[in-house]
Amino acid sequence: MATQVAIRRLLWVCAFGIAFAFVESSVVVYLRALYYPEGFTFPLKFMSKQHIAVELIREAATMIMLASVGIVAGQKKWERFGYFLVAFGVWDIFYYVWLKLILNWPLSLFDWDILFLIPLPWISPVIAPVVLALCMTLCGAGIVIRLARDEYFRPMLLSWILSLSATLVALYSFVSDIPAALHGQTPSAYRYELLIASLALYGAGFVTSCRSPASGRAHQ
Amino acid sequence: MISTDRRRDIRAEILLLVAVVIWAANYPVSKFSIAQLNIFVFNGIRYVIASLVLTVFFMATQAWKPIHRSDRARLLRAGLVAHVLYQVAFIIGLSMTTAGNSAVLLATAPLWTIFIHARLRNEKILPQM
Repeated sequence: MATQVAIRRLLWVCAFGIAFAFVESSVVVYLRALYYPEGFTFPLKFMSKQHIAVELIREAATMIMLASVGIVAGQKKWERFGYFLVAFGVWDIFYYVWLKLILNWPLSLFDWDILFLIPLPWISPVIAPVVLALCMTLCGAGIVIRLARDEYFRPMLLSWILSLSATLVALYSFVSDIPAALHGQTPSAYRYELLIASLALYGAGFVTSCRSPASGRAHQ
Repeated sequence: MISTDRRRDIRAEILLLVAVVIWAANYPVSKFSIAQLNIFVFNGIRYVIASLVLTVFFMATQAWKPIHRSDRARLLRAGLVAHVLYQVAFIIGLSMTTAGNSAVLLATAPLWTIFIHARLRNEKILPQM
């Protein structure tokens, strides 16, 4: 029964993510019409100071909205975090789905995109944020369903180290190409090995969070 | 009115059909992807995503079951052969031929196994095999 309630809530959170992604996509459609009327391509064009300030606040507001959905949907700390991950992941995947439907962009998953602006522009091929968003959605749904089934989920020190390392590695893969991000140059090759390492570390972080300290020694 | 058993059968058949479609799509999708990415990078991404999907699915539906110490080396060996060696050979082979050729070669793998086994062990291939 609790699992069915959790699945129903997950579906509603997904519905929110899909709808909210359309709002995000439509803003990007307008921005691209302003800055890239011939179609989005690298090198990046410089935005006005006023538009950058609005974009930064919009990004922060987006995070607050996604977090709020998680907080409202869940009851316990990690359950709320799980719903937040699902909302974020679905929102990010559908952002590209809507852009594809509206602008027929990206042409492939290997087209480059600008992902975020804080503290400096994050850039990568579309496949990287999509894969990470898929990972977030899966892990979020996994956390919610585990907790609904009264199974153990609590990150220990090792889980924190693994997950934080995964985040740092992923971030580094997005911001390491400083000439392309800040100086208007064409991006060099994306470092996929960092994406793979990041995904593997997230997976390990999730697994270690699902292991209660007692269960590891039960059958030794 | 469809009975519960019949409904379960239909569900199983649909799932089997989905599995066949996904399995068949593996060849053209892999061929397309290795045209864009280094073959080992592609395999790395593919395997990490697959592992994550299966891990989360398992963790969400099952309780944690520790692996017995004596099984770990055997599991590692099986994993190295069935997933690492097999997949590396598969993706290198696929990069050298068409998606259709590799699909036919893999689908006829049991026949190749019989021929190679007969050759290596000097055994005759009999009709009842």
